[in-house]
Amino acid sequence: MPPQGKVKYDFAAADELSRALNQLVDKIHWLNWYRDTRSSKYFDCGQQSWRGKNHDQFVRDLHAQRRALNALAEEAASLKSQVDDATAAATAKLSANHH
Amino acid sequence: MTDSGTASATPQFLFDYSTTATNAARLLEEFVRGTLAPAVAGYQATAVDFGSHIFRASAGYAPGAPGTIDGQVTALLPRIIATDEHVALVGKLFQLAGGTRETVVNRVPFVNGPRPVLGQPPLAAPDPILTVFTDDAALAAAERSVGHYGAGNALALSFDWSSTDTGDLAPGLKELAKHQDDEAFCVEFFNSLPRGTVAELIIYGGPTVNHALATAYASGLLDARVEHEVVRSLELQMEQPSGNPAPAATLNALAADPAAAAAFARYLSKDPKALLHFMGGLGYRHEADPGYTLEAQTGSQRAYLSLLTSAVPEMHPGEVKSLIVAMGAHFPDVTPEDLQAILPDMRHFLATAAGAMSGPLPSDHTIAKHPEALSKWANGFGANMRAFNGIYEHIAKVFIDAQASDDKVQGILTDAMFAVGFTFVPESVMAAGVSLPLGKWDVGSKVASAVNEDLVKVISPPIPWPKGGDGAKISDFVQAMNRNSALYFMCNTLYSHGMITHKSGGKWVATKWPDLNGPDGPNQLFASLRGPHATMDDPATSAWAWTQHAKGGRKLAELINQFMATADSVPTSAPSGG
Repeated sequence: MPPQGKVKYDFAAADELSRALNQLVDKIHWLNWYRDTRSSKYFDCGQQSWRGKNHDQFVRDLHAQRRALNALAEEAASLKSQVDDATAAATAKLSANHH
Repeated sequence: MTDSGTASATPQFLFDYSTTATNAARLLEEFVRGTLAPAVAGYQATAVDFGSHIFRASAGYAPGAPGTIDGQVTALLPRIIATDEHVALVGKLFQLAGGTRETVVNRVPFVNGPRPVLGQPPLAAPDPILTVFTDDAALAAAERSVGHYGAGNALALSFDWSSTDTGDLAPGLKELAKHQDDEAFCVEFFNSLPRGTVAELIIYGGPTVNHALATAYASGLLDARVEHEVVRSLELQMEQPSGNPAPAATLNALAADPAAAAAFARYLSKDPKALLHFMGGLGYRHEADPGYTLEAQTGSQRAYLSLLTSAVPEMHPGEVKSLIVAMGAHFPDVTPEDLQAILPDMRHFLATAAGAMSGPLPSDHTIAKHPEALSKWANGFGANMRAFNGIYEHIAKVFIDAQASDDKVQGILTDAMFAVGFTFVPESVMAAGVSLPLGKWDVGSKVASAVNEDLVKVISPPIPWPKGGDGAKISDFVQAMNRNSALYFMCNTLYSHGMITHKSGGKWVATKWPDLNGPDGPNQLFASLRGPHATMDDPATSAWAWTQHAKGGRKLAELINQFMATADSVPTSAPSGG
């Protein structure tokens, strides 16, 4: 338990991290969207499409990496939630101390 | 998934994706490094009473450490970037594989219109609309080649090019000899040679360099810069006044490997000046320089024609056609004597090219399922024959300009035009590896030879010989010649299908046709060929047609009818009936 009357918690750092994690989630989703739409644009274009073993491998990698990125986005969202909870708890504690 | 290892792509699209996707991933990488990681570190350092468990639970604390969110993203992004960067490499591999032997053998053209592969040398600047068709094996071969840098590069840089003692080349050449069949090594070696040194190496390198050069050419991965130096080196050598056997040796080494020959021919067909020089060889008229020896020059010329003959079956039909047209447009000013000296080689090359351009006859099975296949093929053949007109016209002009007597010109022409044009069939068929339903036509047999000779007699005499240097008359003559050679081909085909027969003693027997050796025989033969629908009503003719039905004779008659109907103006020996 933290000592009574003091809270060792940097609210500014917490805000910064929360914002960064939120951005991370957005940026991960953007990267996935970007790779999906660009690969569709450049590689799935009728007779000019990319075909062959290399393309098959690329698609497998793309899908696996999309799953890994999504998992990290979920983790980032979870971490943000934990950080926000911790910040809320610290705020509550600080508020209680002041009263 | 794709079928049976085929692969295609538009390299520029791969490059575009790779660039843009890699940049996107790098933006995220920068965000993690510049924003997220410091934020995590800052929070970890200060979140003592609350939140301290959030990161420590997973990895203990260290900025960017594995297990932390920034560490995990940092670990994943290089894999993503590598994937997207690899796409560009694949694009490059497609460029390398495109236009190489694998692509040509598959006979699959680029999809963006009738683009000759000629314009797409390996390592050329990317063409934004070029789609390459190849297969995974060709891509893998290209990847092996580009990934093999090391020894060949080191050897290329080990030569002391400042030395004037050619003996200093010996140790390096000895090492090169050990790898002269290793495509990757040889490509790397030649591509790594300092600019301007290729010529010297070819001149002084002897058989080892020629062999290694052929190996490198065959890979299709030689830099255009090296190809340029090779061609210029050979041109320079051929201009030396005393006969120099070296260029012929190099050309013969390339000719011995059809894939190498094809790569060399592709480059030449884009270089009109070189094309002209090679065709001229020592046959050029340098009367002010009596040091030219016809024999040695002829050696180079013959080696050059031998190389082209080796190359064309490996090339795409469109490439061959472009080559023939380019040769016609850049034919050198040679003497009749010089031309005669290389006529057999020229004839062999042109015949092989004719076969390579038109490809094999459709099989009986194909014709049965798609009756139009044969007429399409024949029309294509007829169109391809016209590609030779430029060369024919130059050959005719050579003799006319020389103001040879009519008798002599006629004799030369028999050798030049008739020989070139009228022997397409057996050689082209053999060159293209066609298995015709030959029946009694045994190519190369005495009978076949007699057939050919008689057909020449039947068709050739009535064409008027143009006198003087009238280009229009020459052109008419060439057109007539060309047309007759097409007819000649058709007659050979008829014979192969048993629709006309030949008896020993030079007598032609075509069922219900008059004696072809008679004065009006040729006309009547062609008249019959031109008008099968009309003559089909004649019981005798229809009997003939139907007896050949099982051999596809009727189809062939229809085909010939179509071919004749779509042709240009007819020569004076053309049929009077129809």
